[in-house]
Amino acid sequence: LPADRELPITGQSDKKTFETATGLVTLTGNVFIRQGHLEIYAQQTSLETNQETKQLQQLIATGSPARFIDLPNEDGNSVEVSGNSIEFYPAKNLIITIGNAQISQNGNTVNGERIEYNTVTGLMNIQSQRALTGNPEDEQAELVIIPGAID
Amino acid sequence: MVQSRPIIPILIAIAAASLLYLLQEDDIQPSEEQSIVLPEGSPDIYMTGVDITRYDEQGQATLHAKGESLTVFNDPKRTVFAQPIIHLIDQEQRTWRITSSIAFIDENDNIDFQENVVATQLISSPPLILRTEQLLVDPAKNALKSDLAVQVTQGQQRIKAIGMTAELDTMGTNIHFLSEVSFVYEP
Repeated sequence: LPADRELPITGQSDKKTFETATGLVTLTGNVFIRQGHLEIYAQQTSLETNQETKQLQQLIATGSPARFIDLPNEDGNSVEVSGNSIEFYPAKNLIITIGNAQISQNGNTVNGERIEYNTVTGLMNIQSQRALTGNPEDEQAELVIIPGAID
Repeated sequence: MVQSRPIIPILIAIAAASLLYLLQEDDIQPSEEQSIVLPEGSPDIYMTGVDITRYDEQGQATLHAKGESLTVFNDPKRTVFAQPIIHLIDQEQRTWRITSSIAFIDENDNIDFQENVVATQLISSPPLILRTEQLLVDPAKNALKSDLAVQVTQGQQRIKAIGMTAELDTMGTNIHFLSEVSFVYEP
């Protein structure tokens, strides 16, 4: 939920490196992060904070796959995002998934090579591997909508 | 009667010798302090109200130490520092302040802080504060290390872990938390 961005971020991992000069944090091994309803599961995650405002600027999670689970609004349908790399920009309410990207909600799924997803508006921009490489042999994006799953 | 005459000179000689001996006794008798025998394992140096600064070959201060007492043993070489307050200095800037109940310094000048160890990075804003029960400082490698539970706070961020290492340089310190990491970050 949008209000979740004001909540504390808690997390665990096997290892962590903290660069005090830049505020960059790198978590490695069994990474789990939670902020309100948002949950992140990854093998490695880096968090960058703005050194003046101390706000979280960017979070990049990688894994096989890395997964994001979030509750974008009150209607209760959580969204799950997975992919090789997931970038989260809280200030822009933006999640960018790259590599085997998939977003699913309420049984509906979207697959592509690169998916941009706005966590507030729910707007998605899906790019297939073919669109990115221009190679006609590469995969296209795929969209599966369950009848009745969307009002 | 004749027998008694030789005895008198003998008696006089004995009396004179005794008198001489008594007169010299004060000189022979060593003063109380010189003959103190220290008990086994006594320190070679003991200082209180300690205030020491260490300099490198270029005359730059690298470390400043204050503390309640310093006890130095030469064999084997080790130093025990009670209630130490140690500042690591780099290019005339105090980068870290480390305090604890006690610290042990070995022959390689490595410092082993123990009990209520608090290490504060002074050059970061807000300051980063590390708490643990043991912290090893290697001034030569400019590195910190702990194998025990550590807790680090900086501004709204709190990190807990088991074990950590840190490389200290003026640009910024990289702290590596070695296992069982958990953290809370308050936006």
